[in-house]
Amino acid sequence: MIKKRILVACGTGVATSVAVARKLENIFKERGLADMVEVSTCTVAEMESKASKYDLIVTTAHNSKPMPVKVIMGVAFLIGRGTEPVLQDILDTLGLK
Amino acid sequence: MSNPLFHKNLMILDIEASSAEEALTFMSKKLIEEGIVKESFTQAILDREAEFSTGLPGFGRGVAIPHADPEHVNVSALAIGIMRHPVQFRMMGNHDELIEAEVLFMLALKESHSHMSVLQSLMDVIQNEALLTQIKEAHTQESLYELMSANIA
Repeated sequence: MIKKRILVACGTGVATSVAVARKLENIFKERGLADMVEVSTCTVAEMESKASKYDLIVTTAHNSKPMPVKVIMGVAFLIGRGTEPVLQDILDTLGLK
Repeated sequence: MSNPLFHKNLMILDIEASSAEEALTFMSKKLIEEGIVKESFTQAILDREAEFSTGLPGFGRGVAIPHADPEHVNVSALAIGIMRHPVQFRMMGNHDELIEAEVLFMLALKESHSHMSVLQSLMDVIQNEALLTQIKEAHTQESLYELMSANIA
């Protein structure tokens, strides 16, 4: 099956996006989904041009620009609270269980 | 061995500032004095904060994790700033939400991946109410340095 692709974006592309991406990868591993999802990171500036190659964007940054794919706020993964509904939204969007 | 990102001189206690901008400028100047970042870092971190705010609701205490592009950084480091009084940061990802930040973790990162374990640990720190309180109440640079070193490998 074709892997689902998630793009995680933050302001600098070197800090919170990477932290959120690692967290997501760990969650997918725990749920046995590691082979089905690929997680990449980028800066918000790069996000617009890259978006169409992904199934979903997760970001820690304020975003008001329209994107070709769904954008989900990922700050919950940084603070470790309220992650369940966000994760569910991610899984639903990707059509995973 | 202590973490190379930590420097005693960058454990900054009792910062008197009336705004996030003042606090960020003050901490940036310390990083410049220590040769950790370039002169351009101060403006970069202020601009970055205005565009992508970094306040986070830590467990029981508001925090912020200000950072800027790697091009303004000479050597990677993590500066900790303890505010005398909380200053308002806008929340990361939601500019309408305000965070009363008591502890600032200022990241000067030259590149991301080699320091991921530190970032992950930092996220654990902000979820740990007891530890955040210990950090907030540290009385000396030495004790804050020891505390951070003991909790972030």
